[in-house]
Formats: sequence, C-alpha cells, structure tokens
Amino acid sequence: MWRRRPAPDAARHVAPDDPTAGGGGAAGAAGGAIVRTVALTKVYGAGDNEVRALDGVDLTVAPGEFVAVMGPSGCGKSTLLNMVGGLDTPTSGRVFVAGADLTTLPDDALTELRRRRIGFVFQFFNLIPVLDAVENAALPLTLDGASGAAETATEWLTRVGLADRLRNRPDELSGGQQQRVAVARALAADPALVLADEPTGNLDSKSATEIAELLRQVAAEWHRSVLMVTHDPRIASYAERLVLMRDGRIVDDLVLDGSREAPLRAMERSGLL
Amino acid sequence: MNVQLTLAWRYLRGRGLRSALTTLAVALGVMLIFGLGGVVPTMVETFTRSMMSASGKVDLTVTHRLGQPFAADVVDRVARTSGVALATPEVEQAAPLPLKRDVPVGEQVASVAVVGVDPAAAARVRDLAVGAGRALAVDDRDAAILSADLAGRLGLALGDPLVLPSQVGRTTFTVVGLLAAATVPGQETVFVPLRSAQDLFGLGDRITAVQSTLAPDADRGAVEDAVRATLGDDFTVGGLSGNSSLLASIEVARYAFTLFGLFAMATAGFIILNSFRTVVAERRRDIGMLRAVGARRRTVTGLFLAESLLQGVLGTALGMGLGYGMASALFAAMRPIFEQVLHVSLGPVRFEPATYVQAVVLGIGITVLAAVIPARAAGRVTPMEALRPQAEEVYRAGAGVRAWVGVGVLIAALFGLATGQSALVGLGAVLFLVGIALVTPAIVHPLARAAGHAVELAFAREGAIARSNLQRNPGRSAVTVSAVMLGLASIVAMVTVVQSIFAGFTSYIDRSLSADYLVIPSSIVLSQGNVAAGPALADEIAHTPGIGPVATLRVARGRLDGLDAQVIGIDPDAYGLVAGLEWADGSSDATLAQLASGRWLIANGIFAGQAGLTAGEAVTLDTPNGRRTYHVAGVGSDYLNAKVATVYVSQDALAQDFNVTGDLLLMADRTPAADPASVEASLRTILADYPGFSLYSAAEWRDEQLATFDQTYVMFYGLIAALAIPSLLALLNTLAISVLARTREIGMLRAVGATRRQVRRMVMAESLLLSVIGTVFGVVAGLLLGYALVEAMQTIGWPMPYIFPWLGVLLTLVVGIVFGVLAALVPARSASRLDVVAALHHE
Repeated sequence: MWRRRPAPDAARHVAPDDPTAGGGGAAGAAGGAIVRTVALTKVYGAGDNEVRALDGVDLTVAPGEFVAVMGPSGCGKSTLLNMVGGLDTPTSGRVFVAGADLTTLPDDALTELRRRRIGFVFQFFNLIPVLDAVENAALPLTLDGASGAAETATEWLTRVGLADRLRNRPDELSGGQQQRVAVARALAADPALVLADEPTGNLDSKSATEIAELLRQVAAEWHRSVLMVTHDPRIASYAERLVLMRDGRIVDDLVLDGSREAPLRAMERSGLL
Repeated sequence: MNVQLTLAWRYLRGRGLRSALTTLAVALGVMLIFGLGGVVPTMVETFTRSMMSASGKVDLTVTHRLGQPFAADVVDRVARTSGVALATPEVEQAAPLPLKRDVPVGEQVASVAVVGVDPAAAARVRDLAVGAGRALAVDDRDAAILSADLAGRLGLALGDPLVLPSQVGRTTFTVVGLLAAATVPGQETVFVPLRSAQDLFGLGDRITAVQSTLAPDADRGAVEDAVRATLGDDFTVGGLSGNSSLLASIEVARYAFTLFGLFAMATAGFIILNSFRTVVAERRRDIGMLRAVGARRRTVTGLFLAESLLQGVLGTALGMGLGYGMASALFAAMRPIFEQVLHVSLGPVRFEPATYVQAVVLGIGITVLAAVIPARAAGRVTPMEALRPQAEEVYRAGAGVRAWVGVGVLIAALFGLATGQSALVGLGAVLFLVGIALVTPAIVHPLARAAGHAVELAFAREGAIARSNLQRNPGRSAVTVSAVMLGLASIVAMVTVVQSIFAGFTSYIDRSLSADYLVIPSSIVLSQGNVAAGPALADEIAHTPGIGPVATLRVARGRLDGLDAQVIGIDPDAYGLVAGLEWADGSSDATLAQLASGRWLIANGIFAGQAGLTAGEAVTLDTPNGRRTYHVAGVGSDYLNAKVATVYVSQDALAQDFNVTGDLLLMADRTPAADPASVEASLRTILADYPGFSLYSAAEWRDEQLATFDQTYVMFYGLIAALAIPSLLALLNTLAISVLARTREIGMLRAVGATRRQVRRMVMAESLLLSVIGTVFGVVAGLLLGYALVEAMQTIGWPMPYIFPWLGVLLTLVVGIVFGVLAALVPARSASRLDVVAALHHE
C-alpha cells in the first residue's frame, strides 16, 4: 500500500548527477531537483519565548512531482512553504529553487524568480476583485511585460475548465471557480514549481476534490512540481508523495499509492492523530 | 495600457463613491485656486486699464508724479529735448455718467475717460481715424468725438448732445465725429478739444499729461533720461502713474484668496493621504498577492502613484471647470457692485497661462505628493500578507522625531506671528498649521484622554473603547484631526476677516458720516473717476432754508517720505459740526481745530502706520508746488477713506499748496425746526444740475452700504462652505477604515453580547472624539490665522478693528460636532449590521 521513501541523504547519494548536490547554486538541469532545502531553520522570538518553527529541514522535490505536506497546527508546514516560495527568509540553512539559492538573492531578483519560476495558489484565492478572470490569470505575465499575456491566460483558463467564464470578475464566480482562476494564474508564467497553501481550505468538499484533481493533473500531465500544504488527509491522498511534519521537523516522508486512506494511516503510524 | 494604470483605473472605478469624494476634495481645492486666480488678475487688469490711457502712437508720456495737473510750459520743455519729434498737451480725467434707474447697471456705461487733445497735433500722437462725421477742428468748442460702438451704447448719433458733469454742474458737448476703432470695455473714451476739457474740470491752463513722439533715429532710453533730467523728479516719464492704493487693496485680496486656496489644497492633501492609507490597509492582501506573483516593490508603489495621478488629473480638470464657473458667477454677482459703486466696468473672466500652470501643478502635484507616503508603505507590504488571515493593526507608540520637528516649526511659526510683518505673519500662520499636524500624533494620546471625559459623559462604556481605539493608531487619528483642523481653521479665519471688515465699515459709517444729508459723487473712491463741484454747489446748499452747517471734502494727491497719499482738504470748523473722525489714542476734536493754524495735517490710521508718524513731528509733504513742511496734529480716520492712505489738511492749505478748490463730497445737517420733506425737495432741485452727484439721507446711505455688504457676505459664505466640505470627507474616510480594520473585533464584541446599538454608539463616540479634538485645534489655529490676516491687511492698507469671531467659533463648534455625527452615520450603521459569524471569520 505504501513504501517508505529513501532518506534525503540517501537520495543525494543515489543521484550523483544532481547538479545542486556539489556546491549548489548552479542551474538545475532536467532531472535535477526543483526544490532542495538544506538544514532549513527558522526561529521566532528569543530566549524563553523562542519558537523553532523549522528545525533543520532537508527536503527535495523532483521535477513533475506532486508533494503534500501535512502535520498539526504549528508544525511549520506553512513556514516551510513560505521559505520555498521566497516569501520569508530563514534564520539559517539554505533553499534552492530551480538551482538558485534564494537565501542569497536580493529582493528584486527574488521577485523576478517568483514571477517566472514559481506559481502560488492561496487558501483565500487572492484574486484582484476589480479584474476579470483573464486579467487575473494573466497578471504574472502582465507584470513581466510579456506579450500575448491574455492569449496564454485564456488558454490556461480553458484547460482548467473555465472557458465560459473568461470575462467574469471574482465576485461573479463560485469559490471553486475562483480557485481554478488562481491555478490558471499560477501556471500562466510557465513556472517549474506551483506552491499551494491550503488550496481547498475555503471550499466545499465537491469543489475541494475538483481542485485536488486539478493539481494532480498539473503535476502528472503538465509536468510542474507541486508542493501543497493541507490539513485534509483526503486531499493529500491525490499527491504522489506525503511529507509529515511535527515541531519543525520532518517525521515521515513516503510515497502514496492513490488510495484515499493512505495519508490517514501514515499519520496514525507517526502518532500525528 | 500599462499594468499599473489599468489596475489603478479599475480600482478607482471599483470603489466609485470613495473615489468620487476624494476626487471632489481635490476639485474643490483646485476650484478655489483656479477660480480666484482668474478673478483677481482680471480685477487688477480692469483697474489698471481704467487708469492707463490707450496711448496709440505715443512714444513717451510725461505725467506729474502725484497724478496732479501741472503747468502747460512743461510741453515746451519736453519739445525742446533732443530726440523728441513732437510734444502735445493733454488733459485726461474720468467723468461719471448719470445712471438710469430703470436699466440694469451692468448694461450701462458708468463713466467715460474725457481726453482733451490739441486738435492740431492729436492725429499725430493718437489713433483717431474717423469713420463718420469729422475730426476735431482747431476752432471747435464743446465738440466731442467717440467710437461708434460707444456712441451706440450711449444712444448717441452724429450731432446729438452729450452731457458731462463739470465744475459748474454740467456741460453739453456735440458729437461731431465717430471713430472707426472699437472700444475695449473699460476704456470708454471721449475726445474733446483741450480747452473744453480744461474748462470742464476747472483746470485753468493746466494739463495732466504731455504726449510725445520720438524722432525716427532717437534712442528711447536716452530721450527718457534727457526728459527726466530736464523736468526733475516731480515728473514721471513713461506710463501714467497708477492708483497705487487701490491696487494695494486688490493685492491684499489676492494674498488672502491665495492663502485660502492653499488651505483648501492642504486640506485636500490630508484627505488624499488618509484616503490612500485607507486604501492600502484595505488592499494589504491584494498587494501581498501581487508581490507573491512577482510584482516588484516599485511596481506596487507605482500602482498607487498611478491611482493618485489619475485622481489628480480628474480632480484638477473638474476643479478647473468648477473654478471657471465660480469665477463667472462671482463676476456676474460683482459686476453691478463694481459699476455702481466704483464706476469701473469689469471685463470678461480671463485666465493667464500662469493660472493654468498653477492649478495643474498644485492640483496634480499635491495629490501625487500626498499619496507618496501611503504608496511607499504599500511597497513595503510583504508577500506574506497574502497568506495571513487578517491584516493586524499595530499598536504604535508616539511619533518621536516628527513631533520634535513639529515643536520646532511651531516655535518658528509663533516667532513669525510675533514679528507683525505681513509676509512673515502669513508664513507663520501656515507654519503653525504644519506644526500642529506634525505634533498631533504625539499628543493624540493625552488629548483623547482629556476630550474622552467629555464624550464619556454621553457615551459611558462605549466612549472608553472608542478612546482607546484612537490611541491605538495615533498616526491615522492625527491625519484626520489635521484635516478637520485645516477645514475648520479656514472657517474661523475667514469669518474673522469678513466680520472685521464689515464691522469696521459699519462703525465708520455710523461715526464718521453722521450728517443728515450726504451729497456723494459717483465713485466712493474719492480720488478716482469723479469730477469736483465748484464752490457754487456748497454755497447753494448752505443757503437752502432749513439747512444748518455744511462741510465739504476736497481731494488732491501728495507724497510724504516717498509714500503716496491722498490729501483731503476739510474746513476745520464746519467738519466737526456735521461729521467727525474716528480718533486714535491721543487725538481728539481739538486736534481738528489745529488744522486751521496753517500747515498742520492729520494722518489716517494706515498712513500713520506706514509712515511711522507721531503727533507734533515736522514732515515734508511733496505738493505740485514743491516741498512744504507740515506738522502732524494727530491721527484719525473717516469711513470713505479708511482703506486709502490719507492725510487731512485745511482747505486753505489745499488751495495754497495743491491748487485744489473743487468739492468732492458735501455733508449738511438740517436745522431742528425744518421740515425734512421740503428740505430734501429743495436739495434735489439743486442737485438736478449736478448729474455727477447723488443726494442721500444718512439712513438711506447706510442701508445701501449694508445691502452691498450682504451681497458680499453671501459670496464669502459660499467660499467658506467649499472649504468645510472636504473635512467631512476626511472624517468619513478615517472612520470607514477604522471600522473595516476592526471587523473581527466588532464581531467579537457582538458575540460576547454587545448590542447593535452599543456598537453604533462606539463608532459614533470615536467620530465625536476625533471631531472634538480637530475642532478645538481648528478654532485655536483659526483664531490665530484670522488675527494674522487682519493684522496683515491693516499693515498693507486696509484698516479694520480685530473683531473676535464669536459667531465663527460658535458656527465651527456646531459644524465640528454635526460633522462628527454625520461622518459616523454610515460606518456606524455598517458596523452595527455586521454579520457576527462572518465578521469573526473576516479574512
């Protein structure tokens, strides 16, 4: 039903062609990891109030891989996602995305990386209320000054099943539809990595399933890596790999087989329930 | 289109009402600046035009420096100067035309400039191409030519009689020619032979100007210097000398108006600042998302600047449109007053290029500038905001450095106010407001506590929550307080000035024009546009049965210590019987008697201030007949000349040193036993021969003046309203954001048992607290500013007592509190109607 993934260290030895393995920083060729974190640590507060949100996390995500991250509240899963997305800076350790060391990039370069290499899907959709579906989906391209932004956005909206809602504003769309627009936006700039933070947290169960299925499609058919944080074991089951966290550490890392119950059992085994 | 502009435009449209209100604030400021920018220069130009002659082919004009008539031999002296081809004498003076009662004043010609020319030489210095009839001939007496369109407006044809007021009552001219060139409004001119003009105005052989043309190869500058050397410094070579005191009054008005315009713009600036803070707070999540999907900091900052630019452009365009409308409306309202009272016709509203530039630069500039701080703050929003469930409000401490800068600015402001120099006083007043705006964030805390006690009397527990809400975000509270303060300070200051002006005038009327009958010339600015009456008029009035003492005023121009002054001749004995001066400290009616003892003078308030005169001092007065030494008897003013630099001398001295014997204003008392109706009838019969004068009973005159004041009041209160509305918008904005930012908190209050009514009262109390603080500051700042403006106007030459604006303060307090309630209505309603569950889960 499930099998344990080799430990990250082992993975590194197994894959000697990984270009980030040596010194890190060089561009990630096809077949190399899209995301790699090394001893990633984030500490909030100081002294007695010190909270270690992340405590030496090593995580690798391969191209086209759909990884779900689960764990109880405060386990550090959202913090991990923010670090990988270049939204927050670590206290120590390093983050490589598509070969670039995020911890050394200045703000503008980081912004550009987010715009071109990373797509975001948020819990609250975060669409601009005054723009329609096409304009929202085209935003990363428009910000990049790219030509043909609307055409690309329309194409992606069609793929996520919104061909008939192209000119509707967010307030005219259902929650599930809004999240589809967000997914189209995340994909519009042709990123290598899509980060999803509780993408189904604000949706009814039917819409949630549809979005989970869509994200699976993003990885399996459109070959983007997807890193998703979720509370919902059923949603996590759509991923091909599950990372479980507690108290800022990875406690388990396993390959899923598509069964809806697999994540729940894994959590039970790790004592997370 | 650029992504920032697209987004900016969409956001603006997306929240239509707030955008409209903010844009309106900008538009109102621009309206004041642009509209007044059109009114004041047009007024200045109107006066200048009415004072300057249209010189035609004239190369050089020589006039007396005091604007007085002078001996004709000056013509020969100019003609003999090398480089001068031709010199010819002229007499020019304005003559009022009688107004018809049944025709609207705006459609009548109130006065004409009568120009006496030498018929033999006129065609060579003036553009006098005759279209119909003939030119003036050398042997013409009482013949006149004027432009065809002016003749049309006066209802005259060739051969018709033209009646002009004169030294002896009136003189009838015959229209012999019509000029082809059209008349520019304000330059209505009638040309008559020199001799006739001299008779008309009682000048004898004297003239008022020498017009000359230069030899073809002559150097203009060299000739001017040569003429100056020949004539000495009693004469002005070049343009005619303007009526500087009247222009000074207009300059005061311009100064005040510009200040109010800047006030309105500053208020608008605070509103934009506040509005954009609101917007940035509302959109933290949008901004965070934009940053997350790859917008740079400067892209986000640019988005907000683009939004402010759009608003600035829209507001400025709208404001300029409104300003044009306001200027037109003001002109329509003022035109009759101008023509009736001053006998000057106003031209159409005209805007100078500089006015456009000023409006555009200030309108768009201030809008964008005010958005810079919020826009930069927006750029600093981290992408993490997109992931946060709620934008947390930070409990911020006092303002630190800024407050100390504010204290420094306040000290500088008080220093400026204390100097008493008009420019520094004005600057001080503005600095005072800036200082308060800077200091406010630091003192909102104690202020909220102090004002809170008052509010808590009415609102009990809700008041306490409201108070701590204000203290939680002193920056935002301070901006609102500043906007309210600016708006209300303008009201207090404006009411102070308006009341001071009118109270001053009313008291002058009551005290200095106390005679039973007044015989008043067409223009109440005595030295302008009037034709004096010879001694016969006063004689006739004095011999009318039932008339007691008669006093007259005569006017000349002089110069003292380099300062121009109007010199008024009075009969020291008679004047005290029928009228009186408003005495300054140390002077009394005994001072008046002193004038009889030779070369003594009384200075009016402004002039004594300008020239620094003290009683008993010996001064040198420049007269048309040379320099004369006078002694200062004391300081006192009358109503008509209160706003013009004036000295009073005896009529004997005026005749001896200024050659003036004509009466410009006559005052008479009735004997106690006389029948008012028959006395008035007799006087009317006498005055029928003097179309340049009108007879008023003192009561009639007073009523007429007060009616004029009322019209002006309406205009001023319109302006005041335009200034006050923006502060309401500011208050509304702040409350809306504070409700929005606390949605979750309000949900919690409701969940733990606060009633809708309590929530509503909490928001209401917060609004009242803000407006009470803003109102108190506004009143204090407005009182200072009003005092500074009154002082400034006094210094520049518009004397008025400082009237404490009880009405203004009361009005402001009422407006402040009403605004506080009004601004809270909408946010309080929406706060109390929040869905508790939704609010608790507010994103």
